[in-house]
Amino acid sequence: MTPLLPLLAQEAGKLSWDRMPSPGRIAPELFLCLWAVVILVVDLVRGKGSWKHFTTLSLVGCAIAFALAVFTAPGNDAVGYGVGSGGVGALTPDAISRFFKLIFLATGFLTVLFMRRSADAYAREPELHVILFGALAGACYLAGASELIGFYLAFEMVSYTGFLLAGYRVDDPKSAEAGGKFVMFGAVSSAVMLFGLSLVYGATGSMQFADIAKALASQDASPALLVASVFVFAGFAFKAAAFPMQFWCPDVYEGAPAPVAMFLAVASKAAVFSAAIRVLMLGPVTDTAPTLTQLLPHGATVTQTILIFASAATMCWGNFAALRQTNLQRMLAYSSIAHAGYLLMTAAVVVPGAQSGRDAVSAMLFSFVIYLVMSAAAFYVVTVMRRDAGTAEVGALRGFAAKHPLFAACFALVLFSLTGLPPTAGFIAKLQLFQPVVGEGHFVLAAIGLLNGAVSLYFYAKPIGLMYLASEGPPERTPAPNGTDRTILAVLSAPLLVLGLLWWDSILEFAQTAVAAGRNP
Amino acid sequence: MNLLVLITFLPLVGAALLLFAGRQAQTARWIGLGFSAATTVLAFMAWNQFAAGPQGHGAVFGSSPLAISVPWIEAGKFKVNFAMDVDGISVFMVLLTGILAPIAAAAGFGIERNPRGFYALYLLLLSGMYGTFVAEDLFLFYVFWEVMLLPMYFLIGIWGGPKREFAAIKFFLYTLAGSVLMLGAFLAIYFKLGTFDISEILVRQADIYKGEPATRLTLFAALFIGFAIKVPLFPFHTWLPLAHVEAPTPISVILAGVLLKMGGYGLMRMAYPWFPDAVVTAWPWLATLAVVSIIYGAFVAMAQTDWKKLVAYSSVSHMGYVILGLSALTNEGVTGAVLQMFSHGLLSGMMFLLVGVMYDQVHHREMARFGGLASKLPKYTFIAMVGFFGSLGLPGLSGFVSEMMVFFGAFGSKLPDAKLYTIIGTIGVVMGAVYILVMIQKIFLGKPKEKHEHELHEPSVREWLMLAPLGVLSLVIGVWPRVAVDIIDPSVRAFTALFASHVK
Repeated sequence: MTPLLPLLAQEAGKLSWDRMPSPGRIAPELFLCLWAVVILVVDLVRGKGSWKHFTTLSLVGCAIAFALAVFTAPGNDAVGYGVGSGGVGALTPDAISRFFKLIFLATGFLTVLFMRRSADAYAREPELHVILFGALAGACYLAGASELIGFYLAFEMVSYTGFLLAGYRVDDPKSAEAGGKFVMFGAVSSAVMLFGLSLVYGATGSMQFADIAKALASQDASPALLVASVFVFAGFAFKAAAFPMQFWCPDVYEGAPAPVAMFLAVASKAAVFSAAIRVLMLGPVTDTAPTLTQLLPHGATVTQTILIFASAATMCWGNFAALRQTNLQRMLAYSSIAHAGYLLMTAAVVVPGAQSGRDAVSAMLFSFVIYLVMSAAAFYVVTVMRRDAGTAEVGALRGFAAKHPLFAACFALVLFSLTGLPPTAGFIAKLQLFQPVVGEGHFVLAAIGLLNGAVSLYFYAKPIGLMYLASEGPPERTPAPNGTDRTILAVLSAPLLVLGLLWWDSILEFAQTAVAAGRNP
Repeated sequence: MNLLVLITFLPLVGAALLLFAGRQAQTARWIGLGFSAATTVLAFMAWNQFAAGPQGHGAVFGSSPLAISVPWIEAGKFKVNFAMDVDGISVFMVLLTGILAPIAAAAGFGIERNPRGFYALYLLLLSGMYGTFVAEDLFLFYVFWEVMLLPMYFLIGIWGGPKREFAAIKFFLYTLAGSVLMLGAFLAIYFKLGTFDISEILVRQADIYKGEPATRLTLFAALFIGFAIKVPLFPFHTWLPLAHVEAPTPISVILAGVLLKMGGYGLMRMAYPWFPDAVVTAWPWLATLAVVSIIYGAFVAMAQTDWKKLVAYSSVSHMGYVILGLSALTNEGVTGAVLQMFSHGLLSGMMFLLVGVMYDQVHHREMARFGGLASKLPKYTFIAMVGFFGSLGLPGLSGFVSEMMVFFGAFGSKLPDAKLYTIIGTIGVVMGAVYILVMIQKIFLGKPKEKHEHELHEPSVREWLMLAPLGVLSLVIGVWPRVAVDIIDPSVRAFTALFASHVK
């Protein structure tokens, strides 16, 4: 188990085809696009009426894409239509991007599975799968983007599919409202970001990340670049639901179907961070490359200060606003904001070029894996709640543990893991995220983050209290998980306990190797 | 098999067994009691093995013959060892846990609601407590430290009194707030030294942010607050009365008897020895907090009308002595602090049991509604007098010895104004006598206030078996403290030696 994963992360691992032609190196992306077409065609051929095998088709698609991502050798030279010299192109599928692809595809698999289990009425189900595959392809592309146009296209692909997914249930006014809000704010923030990118292009005369970085290194900071970096940050902050661009998130996550909310919370967020790692903090991945953080007049410190304040505000806002929530799905939205805050905190303190920078990036990669498992499990409970009880209000869980001990125990474990308590995997993820922050001497920021963890216990413990401690009788409609539900939740939550004690070092090592092998900008 | 590993994980085996067996209430109770009692035997074996060695061995943590250390997690430079050991102080704490474990388990026999769940969580709690006292690796320590929280939350929240849900979450939040501060300090230390090994950190403590006294003071403060919440020291004590009062009797016993000691133990093991310079700098604050705790706890205890609350606040006062003795940094003071932890573990556990025995019969704890128990229940009154007078500090019982040593040690300390703090602190002894005596007068003396003669009965055999060992042990320590002092003394000397160069 241990040696396999790091081996995969190495450039040209033994399991890969040697010297693949260029298109072969983006096999997962190509396959995702192809599979979207396959689903469309099958739908056309079949005509009207529901067919449950669309789920199977999509699950198989995700699994194949996952396998392709595993077996495609990452490399640091680009593929695609780029005009740059020396093999620089639009897309660079390196080890870091592969790590993210695996996360996206696993999330996609679980989303499809949850949609099946949710029994929400999805009109025209195949279309939903097509959109989902589009989102996955966009996310995979984004993780490897190494050029502005490709980056922006992928970014928008993830955004627009997100709008469609969130608002897909047109019969449900809340879902429609969620989609509408998402489009409004999303379009504005994209425009702002695009404007920022155009300023970058204007100042540097290049689309390639690598060339931009070089050009920035030889340039003095200018007001235009200051504006540019703020605008680009705003675009990222919107998608990552970071303060001060987080306001849309609770409404959208609450209104969207639970599996879609899970997809947005994990895959979309991971996609944004995968790009942000390149653009906002290229430095830590390579030793020599200058970064966008150098855009500002006083070097990196001003950007760092902005990021530090944004991260502190994000986690405080997420955790404190969550305290008053009674809707579990909405609470998880705030929880995802808080987690974005923790990630941003680690990103903020990174010193470009230092070993601690690499550690920080691998810590972020590692915690995304854990966050994926935790979120999936938590949103699955919401899926079951909305299916059986017709509501995501926590009150529906009152006295739940007496009737469904296993399901309740698993959910409690997930919530403790989200809080970051040992011996769960959530603790390990937190430990990794805080380590660079403390190491760089940001004691106040670390203290704020850690105390936020204590605050978050209050709302994470609320469902646990209702399930186990509540003295009144159960409400009329409670979730009634069956055998399959129990199995799914148990399979998702068991790793949280096991990884809290054993084997997590192999995943962390996988992340570390990926970062070490990752490309220059 | 290593004794320390065995004692830590045996309760877990019991908890797992309960998941499969123990549908019958009686089976669950006996499994719970059986595994608790087995750890008692192991605790005495550990004590015996530790004491059997040559004089002074194992004085420094990490060097006893019981030690074990195997690599556990390795990812890049992130290395964690599964390391366990005891020194004179922690073996004493393990013994205390071992003594209280079966007693509290027996006290839980009266619980009717889902005994299987209760004992499974109780055994998990035991595992966490033993693990915390024997862990030699910070990562391991922190895991065990938090593992204690989870069962505690459920034990208070499910089996507690009327306000149990609020009490449980308040306890959980307070202790978690403390432990995250602690975690921050651990990470900072780890980052500087690159190790989680407690004994190695002790050796290299001077390198932690060398030449940055302000940073060292900050880290000390983070650790101190983290542990002080557990102790609990004024002004971090507000979770305690609620949790104590709402918890069921066996959990109150464990909470007061063992969990509060975790705070004192952590200070002795980590906060103080790692930052000796910061301790000396912070001495006026530490002494003030200790003295305020002693006096404030006593005053608030005096004002209580609820019997259990009175006992709960007496803990705040008595744990203040621990901090005073510890902060004095003299051999007598630190020995007194360790003894006081042990003595308080025995006596507060005993007092909660006494209250519980009576509560089971009359279903209230209002002191004003009691009266004249001495004439009705002479046997119960006798054992109750042992517990309460021991807590008051009657010579011949353990409370007297430990409090005396704390005051001697603090009075003889070379730290500034030590004598002043000590003299103010002794007011607490007087106040302690007042609230205990007033309570005894209300409950045991005078005439009966309510007619419940027909329901009242003397303690049952089970209750005698719970109460008598605690009284006897308190008497043993009170009469012949050397049985304990000889074991802890080398470790205490090693502890105070760390501060020799800092105390002028």
